[in-house]
Amino acid sequence: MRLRQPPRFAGRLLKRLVPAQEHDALLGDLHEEYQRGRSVAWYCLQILAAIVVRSLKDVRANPLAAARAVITGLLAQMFLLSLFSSLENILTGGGYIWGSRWIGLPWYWHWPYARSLYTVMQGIWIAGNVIIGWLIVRLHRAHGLTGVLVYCCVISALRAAGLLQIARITHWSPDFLILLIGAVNGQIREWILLIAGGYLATRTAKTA
Amino acid sequence: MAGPSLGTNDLMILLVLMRLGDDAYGVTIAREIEETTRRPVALASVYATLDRLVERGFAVSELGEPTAERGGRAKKFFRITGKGVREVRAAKQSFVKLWKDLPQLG
Repeated sequence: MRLRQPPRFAGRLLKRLVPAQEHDALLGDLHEEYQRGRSVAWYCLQILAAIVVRSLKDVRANPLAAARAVITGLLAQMFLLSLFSSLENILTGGGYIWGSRWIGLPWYWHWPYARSLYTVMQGIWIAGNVIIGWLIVRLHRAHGLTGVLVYCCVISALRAAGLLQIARITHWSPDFLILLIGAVNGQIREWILLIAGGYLATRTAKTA
Repeated sequence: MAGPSLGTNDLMILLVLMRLGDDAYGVTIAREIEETTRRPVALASVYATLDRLVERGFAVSELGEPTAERGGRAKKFFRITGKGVREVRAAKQSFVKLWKDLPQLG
């Protein structure tokens, strides 16, 4: 009987993203079920479930590491936001605030960039979130992507709390619903970038 | 004597281990639960429960032989321990007492 090969990337992804745990028995079971006719979609969903379940197990076993990952992410996020603000001042106002003083820059600092300001700021936002994800995993390498996933949940919860406050104030107005759609869209993109950054910082099981 | 300390998933897995005997590993356990509950089961959540039961001494595990059908990976067999059987017995006694004479259950 010819054996079907399950998607190899899925198993490798599990080992790479949750390196602290033993996966062989689980992967063997999935392989066996795949031989019995389970689909590729089933296999990938099982791997996704395994990443989530095993990350949760990692968090329960190492709550301090998870807390440290969240603090790392929040500090990096604060730095990113202040960098954003400074860059926006430079690109639009031709200067920046240093302490309580305004430092003006020559006109050519903001002239060519103002036209593509949105693109530049978007690029910085994308790069910043990838770097935050990368930093969290790099500083907590033994836990793979767990730290990033916990950080994603925490910032989503904080933003959801903020949105709920706005919803109460605006009485769920149509404007708020537009804001909500934008916020959800932004949050999903942020998650993708953070996880991508975290993935870049992981190493394969062989080199870990 | 203190009452049982098992969650619903823990109890279900221990009962499945008792039913399956020597053939209890991830695939057979998940299949038994799926057939009983008629709901899909994530193998990783089965292993999470099994690991918890092993840590608490209600089950033990041992590795079988690797096979080509499993991509060269060994099966991990699980067996309920005496302590596990006592916990299941205590849970059964508690549930039978609670279920007894409930008009809603006929």
